[in-house]
Parts: sequence; C-alpha cells; structure tokens
Amino acid sequence: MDDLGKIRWKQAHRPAGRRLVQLYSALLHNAYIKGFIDGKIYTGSTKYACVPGLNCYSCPGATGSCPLGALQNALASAGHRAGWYVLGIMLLFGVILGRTICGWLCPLGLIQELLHKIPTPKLWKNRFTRILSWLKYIILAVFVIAMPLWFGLRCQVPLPAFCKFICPAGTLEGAMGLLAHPANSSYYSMLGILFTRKFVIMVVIALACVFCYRTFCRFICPLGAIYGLFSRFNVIGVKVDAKRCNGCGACVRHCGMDVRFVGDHECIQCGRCMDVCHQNAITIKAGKAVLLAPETGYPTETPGTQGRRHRQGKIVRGFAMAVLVFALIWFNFLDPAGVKENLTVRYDSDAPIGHEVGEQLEDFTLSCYDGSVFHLAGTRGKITFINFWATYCTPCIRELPFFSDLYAAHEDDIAMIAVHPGLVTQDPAAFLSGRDYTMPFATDSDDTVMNIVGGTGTLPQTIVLNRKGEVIYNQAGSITREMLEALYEEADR
Amino acid sequence: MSILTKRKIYYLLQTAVCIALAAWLSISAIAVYREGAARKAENPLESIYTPEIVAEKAAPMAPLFLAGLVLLITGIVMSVKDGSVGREKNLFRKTKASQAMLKGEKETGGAFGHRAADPPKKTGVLQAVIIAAAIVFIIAGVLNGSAGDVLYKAITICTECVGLG
Repeated sequence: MDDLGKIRWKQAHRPAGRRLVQLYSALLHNAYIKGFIDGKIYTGSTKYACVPGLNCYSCPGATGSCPLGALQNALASAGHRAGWYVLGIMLLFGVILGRTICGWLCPLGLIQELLHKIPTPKLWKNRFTRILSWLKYIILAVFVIAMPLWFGLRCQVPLPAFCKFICPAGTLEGAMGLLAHPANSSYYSMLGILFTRKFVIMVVIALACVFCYRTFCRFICPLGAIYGLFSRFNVIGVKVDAKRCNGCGACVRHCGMDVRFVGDHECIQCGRCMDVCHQNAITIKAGKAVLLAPETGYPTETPGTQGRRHRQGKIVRGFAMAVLVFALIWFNFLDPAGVKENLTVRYDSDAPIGHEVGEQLEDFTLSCYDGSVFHLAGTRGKITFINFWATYCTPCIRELPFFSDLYAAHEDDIAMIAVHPGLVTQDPAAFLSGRDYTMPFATDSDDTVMNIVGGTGTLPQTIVLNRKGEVIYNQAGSITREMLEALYEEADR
Repeated sequence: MSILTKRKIYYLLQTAVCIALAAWLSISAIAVYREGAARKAENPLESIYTPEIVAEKAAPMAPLFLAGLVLLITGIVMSVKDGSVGREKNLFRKTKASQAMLKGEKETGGAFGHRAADPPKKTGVLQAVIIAAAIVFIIAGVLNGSAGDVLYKAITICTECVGLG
C-alpha cells in the first residue's frame, strides 16, 4: 500500500491552500451575486478597475473589467485616444504579480484545474506541447494587438478579435451566464454562427483541459503571454536558492506547465515544486520576504518563525474574509449602481405604457446632431424605428447602413432615430462626419430613452413601433437588412 | 480483478463519457444552427436558437451527463487517482532520459533553477522603474479619459464580443 493509501480520505481530499485562494479570488472577481439572480450585469464604478485574471466583464457577477478586453478596446480606439490607463494597469499587474496571477488568482485557471481533476488518463508535457506553448504569443500578436489596431485605425471599426473569435471565458461567463437567466430569453434571437462557433471552441477547450493540464493557459491565453514577459521582474513569485539547488531537475519534471526552469515565462508560480524539492531550495517570496516556504527543512523555519508566520497567516486570512464579506454585502445590497428610476408621465392611450411588445413607449424628445428635434409623440401615423448604437460597438456600426438604406427608401413613411447612449468614448457627431447616413442621430446623454425602452446596456438594440405607436419589436442584438424589411412589412399590417 | 485493471476500466469509462458529452454538445449546437439557419432563410424574423429548441436538444444528454457525474462522485469517494499520479512517483528516479535532458539543459545554459536563482543584478531598480512608469500611465489614463473608456465598455454588453451575435 503506498503512502497516500494510508492517509485518511478526508485528509487526502482537503483542499490545498492555493485552491482556497483560487476559490476566494473567483468569488471576489464575481461578487455581484445579484447579477446571476436578476440576469443583469453590474454597472457600478468598480468597473473602472481591471481585475488581474481573465474574467469576462459581461459575466453577470463580474465586479471589474477584464484586462484583455480593455486592452483590445484601448488598441481599437488608439486613433483618437491613447490607452495609457490599460497599459499602466497591465504593467503594474505584470511587474508585481506576473504569472502568479495565473496560478493563484485567475478564475479561468481554477476552472481548468477542476476539469483536470476528473480522473482520466493524462497527457503529460512533451516536446510538442513545449513548441505549442509559443502559440499564445502568436494569438497575442494577431488577435489582441494587430487585428484591433488594424480595424480600429484603418476601418474605424472596433474589433476585439480575441473576445469575438476565441475567448472561452466570454462564452462561458458572458454569453452562457446571460442566456441562463429567463429574463434574457430575448437574447436567443440573436444567436447564430458566431455563438455556435464559440460554443464549440469552448467545449473543445474544456475537453482538452480534462486530459491536458491547463490547456488554455499553456497554449492559448494571451493574458498569460503578457504576464510571462515579466517573469524576470516579478516582485512576488517563486524563487530558487542557488546555494541549495543541486540541479536535480525534479521541480521541472514534476511541473505540469512547459517550464524549462523554475520561474521562467511558462511558470505560473503555483509553488507545487516546493513540495518535490528535496533540497528545500524553492520558496515564494515578495521581494526578499518569504511568503510561503516548505513546511519542514527550510533554514529560516525555526519554531519561533513558524509561530510568527502562523499568527501573521491568521491576520491575513481574517482580513481577506472581511474584504470578501464587505464586497458581497456592498455589491449585492448597498451599491446603488444600476438602480434606474422609472418615469411616471403617462398620456391617454389604450395600450399600457411599457417597452414590451403590445405596449407603447413613454414619450420622449431628443435633440439631433443636425439641429432637428425628434419627438416620439410626433411620429404617430408613421412606422418608427429606434436604434441604439455606439461608436465602440462593432455590430452596431455594421448595421447602421441597413437602417440608413431603409430610411432613404421609405423616408415619408418612416420615422427613425439612431441613439447613442450617454456613455460616450469619442464624439459621435465627429465619428459620423465622414459617413453618409440618412437618418437623424442623437445622444441619450442621461439614459432617459434607454430606460424608457427597457434597455439593459446591451448593444445594439432595435425597437420598432407600428403606426399607433405600439411596440412590435424590441430586442438587443444584431439585425440584418432582410429582418429590417420584414419588420417594416409586419408593422404596416 | 486487480486494482490496476479496475482503474483502467474506470479511466476508460470516464474518458468515453467526457468525449461523448463534448461531441454531443458540439454536434447538437451545429445541428441547431443548421436547422435554424434553414428556417431563417425562409423567414428572416425566425430565431435560430430558442429556449425550447435548446431544451429539446439538451434533454437527451441528461442521462449521459448524470452518468458522468455519478462516475466522478464515485471516483472521488473511492479516491481514484488521476492519470498523472502514477507517473509522479517516477519523477524522482533519474532515468537515462531525464539525465540526458538535464545535461542538455545545462549545456544550453538553461539549468534547472539557476536562471531563477540568479536574477539580473539591477532587477530591483528595474522593478521600481516599471512600477513608477505604470503609475504615471494610470494617472495619464485617468486624465485623458481612457479610464472612462474601460468603464463604458465594461458596463455595456457588446453582444458580439461575448459571442452572442
């Protein structure tokens, strides 16, 4: 019977300290539990800050911004504003923690490790996986840097290519997280080839993670690639005592990542190598301070220092729990973000006021960029199209010509307004100056219209009213030329 | 039946369930898309995916999913080790291959542990410079509005970015 067999079941299955930190981090990354209950994303000011790990900011629970999504958007809008903020955040995370984030904090890393826990035969690292580990640098260069920059600067279209074409975190946490809630059943109408492709990619990556340790981290993750660039400058990370190391290589052979030596750009600083080092040469340090050392045999580990470390550990754990409890209470019960007031103005009509199909919208007025005024009540007798778009939304920009063409074809019969939400990252009027769209544009600076149409901030959103002013269509998601024509015909019945 | 054989059978079952589930999910998604796309071609207002269609396709997978779950729980209760555990015992044994690998690493200057143990002499200075630069960039970002860009993007769901469509 081997040693593990002698250990009691409970002890053998006790989660390691790192696993608890990973769970803690995942919970803190997604502390807005109310979002899962309501099916809406968090809109508070903590999303100014990027979280260190890969965690989609469209996840209903997310309380911070995804650094990779923010980086792609910063590059896509580099033509009008330099993304110093994201660059600074990435540098800060990189130099202080580096890939320690991957090993200890990333929620997607936790998911991959849990999948790998499923007992199956495992594919161990080899020459092929080592070569494949360079793939993530290619993905970083092409999907995260080149494509957003190219489309942003040349075509004026923001394209977060990695998010759109690959990111399994976006599919799992963002798309699936939103689709899982019955309140978002209207989102099903926008699912198509993009979702199918990304869903299959997600399933394949998940399956690969069962057999191959941290497949996404090792071969695909551009965030890990960025943090890996800082591997030689990390303040916090795994350090090897050269005087104690005898170069036996047990650390590297034991490691599931494609490392060539401890602490290189592939090392996620998880510290598992500490347990296999017979020389006790490996520790996790912050600068010169030892954060984690082998339980026995480390030279500075006297009973006195162990006791002190134990007390310090208790204080840190207590503080961490207090932070988590505060975050959970704040995000779910105290933070007023996202609470929208309903306007109460009513006017005489048979249809009830609301934004669902069969209801009629409350009246509103918007000042257009061309100097005209759009008054909803004044559009009675015409078929009305209201389109929410934004300069930073690729599908929105792609579908604007469809609206423009429809408006040009039926100008006398259609009232149309393209509304930019109050969140403006660049001047929409200036953005539109070189484009010949026929319909009027306006900015909903205080989100009044967004509230009236029941918008949740999901873009694009299209609302179609019949000649009586009743809603016949109100959905978020892309729309095609054919759908617009069909909606026009349906509204005319 | 030996323990080794039992474990092999368990691995085989678990592997089969995982692969079958993944294949079924992928094929179902593609099938839903193809059928839906055909409907949409006839009527542009038709949805490709609907909660009903998804539920209809997912329902037959439930027994397989449950079987996988039961297998997993059985594995946890019975302390079935994963495929990498057996190999770890050999990691300390200096085989010819590992010796050759170690030798090769040393010859190419990539000796285990040594690179990490001997950081560049000016690492501390470099760290301080990068941290200072990062703070300057963050302040510049707050001033030029790029911090706002991050917030705006994060509180608005871009349907295409998350793969909705």
